[in-house]
Amino acid sequence: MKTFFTLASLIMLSGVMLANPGDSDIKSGFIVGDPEIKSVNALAFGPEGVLFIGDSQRAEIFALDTKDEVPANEVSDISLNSVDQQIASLLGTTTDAVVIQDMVVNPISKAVYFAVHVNDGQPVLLRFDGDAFEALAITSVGFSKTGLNKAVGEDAVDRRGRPLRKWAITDLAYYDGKVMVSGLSSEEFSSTFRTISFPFDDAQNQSSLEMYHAAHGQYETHSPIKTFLPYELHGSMHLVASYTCTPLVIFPLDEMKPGKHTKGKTVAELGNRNTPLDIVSYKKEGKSYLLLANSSRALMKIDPKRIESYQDYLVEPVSENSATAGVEFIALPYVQVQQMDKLNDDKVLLLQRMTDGSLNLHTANSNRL
Amino acid sequence: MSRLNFFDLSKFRHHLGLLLVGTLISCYGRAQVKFEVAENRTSISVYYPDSLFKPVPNHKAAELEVLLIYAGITGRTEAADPPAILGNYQGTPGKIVFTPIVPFSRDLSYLAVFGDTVEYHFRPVPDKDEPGARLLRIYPTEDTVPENLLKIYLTFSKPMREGEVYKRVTITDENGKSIENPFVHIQPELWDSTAQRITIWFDPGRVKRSLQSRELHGPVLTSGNTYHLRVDSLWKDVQGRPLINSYKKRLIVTDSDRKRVLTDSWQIHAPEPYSKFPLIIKFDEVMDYATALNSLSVWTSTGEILTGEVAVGSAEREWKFIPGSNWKPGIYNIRILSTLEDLAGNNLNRLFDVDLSDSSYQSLDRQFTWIQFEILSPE
Repeated sequence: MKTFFTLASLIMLSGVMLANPGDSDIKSGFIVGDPEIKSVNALAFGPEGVLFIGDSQRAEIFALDTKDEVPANEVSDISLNSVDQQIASLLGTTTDAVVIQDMVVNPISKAVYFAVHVNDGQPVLLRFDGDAFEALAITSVGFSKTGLNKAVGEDAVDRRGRPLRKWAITDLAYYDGKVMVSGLSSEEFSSTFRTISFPFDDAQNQSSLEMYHAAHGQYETHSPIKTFLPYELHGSMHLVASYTCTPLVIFPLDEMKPGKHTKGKTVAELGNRNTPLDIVSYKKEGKSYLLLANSSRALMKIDPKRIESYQDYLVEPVSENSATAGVEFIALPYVQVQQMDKLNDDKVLLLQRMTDGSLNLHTANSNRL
Repeated sequence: MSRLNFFDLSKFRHHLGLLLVGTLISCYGRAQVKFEVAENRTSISVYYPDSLFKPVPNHKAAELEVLLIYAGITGRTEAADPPAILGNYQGTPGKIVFTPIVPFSRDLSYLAVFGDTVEYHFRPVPDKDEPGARLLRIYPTEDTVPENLLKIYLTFSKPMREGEVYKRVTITDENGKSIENPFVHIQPELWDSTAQRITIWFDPGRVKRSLQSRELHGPVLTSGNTYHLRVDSLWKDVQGRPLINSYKKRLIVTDSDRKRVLTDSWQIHAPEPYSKFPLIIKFDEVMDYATALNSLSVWTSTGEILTGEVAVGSAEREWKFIPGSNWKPGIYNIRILSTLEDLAGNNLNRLFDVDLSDSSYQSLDRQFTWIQFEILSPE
């Protein structure tokens, strides 16, 4: 009985102490205020409407409470033409002064979030509900944050003491209580991949990994990861990572330990003069596929079963005139897809530069993928 | 496509307060309403005669949206209006202040519409007519570069606009023909925190051996050839002003550099005691500008780091350190981080791309290495 009372009073107490009684444990460490976000380079949604923001300028990851937690009744197709012009008009400027850094879908509300830089890099977060845009108040919001900078050496600073080196965040994902971040330094050529426990506590819970890939079994390099997806292969979680110089590489998550030299298995090359942009998974007729967007190639559909059954490293040099190599893929008739996220298992939202030059948002249903 | 309601003013028209505004303004005319754009372009205020009506009783945002601002137009049309600008509203009796999320541009026309009837066209006063940015330096400084040159840095006199670099920097061969996609397009672009220095990577797929891009298209730069790196003056700074000039730099390409960075043959020029003369280290090859700036530091024999000014000079063949206070006689240690790179991305620990069939090769796993020098007491 005594225990009951203690427990009950604790619950009551905590109810009083929480800023918002509806908040769960993961937001208990959030404070309300101005996170002083300087850049919004990568976005990813976590649970309960928490939006993670990769801020390259500050070398920090922010977790923002969007309070956007009302589930969508139904998932309808989203489309909007001339997205860049719409955004430029909403921000009172012109398209050449606007850069869309990332686009994600809130998996609960299905609203689309755009990370935008304007003119001098001023960060803006926009939410599109399929009907209208609104700007998120990023200077007054519930948030928590964690830093990425590991003090190695004494970086050169400019005359005003600002560091010259930048840690550019290329992609961000949330999986199983962890935020995963890929990035590259603006100076030395290296790939940095970190997993950070969420809720953020302290730097002890960060692990930095060194990841290598081998090209054709002969040459081995550090290289920056451009985009990645945690995905189940062979019954266990893997990281499917696409590098800037286009190899598609898989790493088993349970083998990726801090400080360990982790060598991935190259399973495909996605084509020359090309930069991978985004990876998502979707389902068609109950079967799962991977979808890859590229800077100068069509959307690629890969059957993960083929990755699983792919036994070799890429050993043979790529034959002449062959566009790509390794695991087979299907090129889908969507080119110049700049951003991509899934609306639900069988709908993928694409931000695509059309042949007439306009930048359109539209929904691709799995029957067309 | 679902219909947008960006510029659907119908809901405001049904608002009683707004009806009042509309009616009264049309009665009393636009002379009753005054607009004022803040000098720093961060807000616009509208003053209206509140003695006559109270259109926004609670000063809530939705009520204050009787003031809407549009960019890039001078008058409204039925169909093609852009959405109204997003921003924050503040209201006091007789006054509404609208603060756009992004300050108004100095080179754009705006239309303010109050109560759906009163229109005010404005164009913010341009800033003092300053010239655009100047490209200060291109690194590497020397024209002669290895075939596997990995990156270049450009520095500017003013902060530059994001999103243009891969359109504005090109490489042409001896015939003036543009090399297709020489650089890897990295987003976010690799600007420093001042937006005045950018890092541009050559497509590593065409630098690394055996990757498909290189197998099919060869390296971007080929030994024995001469190229030009061109920087287009259309590149805008954050104020939207183009560069003062276009620029051209010659690249004379020599063989690939496939040697690890070695410190053994560096020359250390120890300074005079009781002076602030620079400590000078002469490298035995051209180093990567940015990593050379960041990778070296000077420590006392008791393990304290010296503060001072660092510079990379002599076309990136030299590192200089000027201490904050006079040198004292004694033993010093120079710490060199293993991440120091040469022009081809080779560092102290490893080569940029490693030939695994070369059994003599072994990469190292040290964070830094030390070089000792001594400043002698004057005789």
